[in-house]
Amino acid sequence: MTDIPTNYAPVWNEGFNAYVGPFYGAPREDGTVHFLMDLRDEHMNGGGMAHGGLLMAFADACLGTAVNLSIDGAASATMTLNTDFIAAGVKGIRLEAEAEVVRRTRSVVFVSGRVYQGDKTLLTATGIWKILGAV
Amino acid sequence: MTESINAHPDKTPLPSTRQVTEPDGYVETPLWDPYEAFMGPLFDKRIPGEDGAPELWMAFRVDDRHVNTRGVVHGGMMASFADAVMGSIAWNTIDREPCVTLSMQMNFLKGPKMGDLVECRATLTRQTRSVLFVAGEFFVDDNLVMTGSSLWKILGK
Repeated sequence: MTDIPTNYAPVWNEGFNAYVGPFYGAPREDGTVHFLMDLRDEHMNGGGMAHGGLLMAFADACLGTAVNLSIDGAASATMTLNTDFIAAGVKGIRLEAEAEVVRRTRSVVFVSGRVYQGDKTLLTATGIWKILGAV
Repeated sequence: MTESINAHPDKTPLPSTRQVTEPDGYVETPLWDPYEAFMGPLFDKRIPGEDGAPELWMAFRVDDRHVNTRGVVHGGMMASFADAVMGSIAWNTIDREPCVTLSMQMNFLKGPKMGDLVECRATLTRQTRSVLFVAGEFFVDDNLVMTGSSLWKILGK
């Protein structure tokens, strides 16, 4: 992928993330997390639009990274993920995502975000992550 | 051996990235979405349900493409599989008219690991003129690992 800003790095670039991505991410000054990726042929559905599963996976990775930063890198796992599909994604426009931690308790983190292309929101997502080992 | 729910009499499906042995009772699912072939293969079977209506089951075998840094299936992979399974039942219910995901909700109970066979039982909950409600229960070795529910929009309706 070309013209990735220098402060963006591939996030957890092993297994699924490396295979489907890389997903490039960076924290913003306001505490939110921003992700970038370019769509390839293998990300599409039979209709030539971005596959719904890919959009949810990209959202999960971005929301999970926001959670991870909010708990100083402690291990966590998705407990619930809710997604609404607002519009279809197309190839040729960079895919972006952003996520914000809404609340953190002792054992769970509430997080919210969206996947978008330019000024068009494709998917909105909310989720709750469990901080592993915390009760 | 029953035919896959996604079989097409004339078209050749997309080749999956890997070859994986069919689990007992399942047939390989012909895939028509490049993303699903990229994650695949997937397998499916239809068995008589408790009320006599056929139940749709789909499955995938967890490998290194599907896991996170802890060796557990990535939430995004479970979401992708859920979309493929629930989309199959939606699409076939409406005689393969175009339809798209409107919403998807997932609760993750347990993380499947490398080598596990993840199976999903998908159920059509309700059908209106323009929207389908589909639920899914996901298992590894009969243990529930995820529940999902989704809405599908029939395009043009």
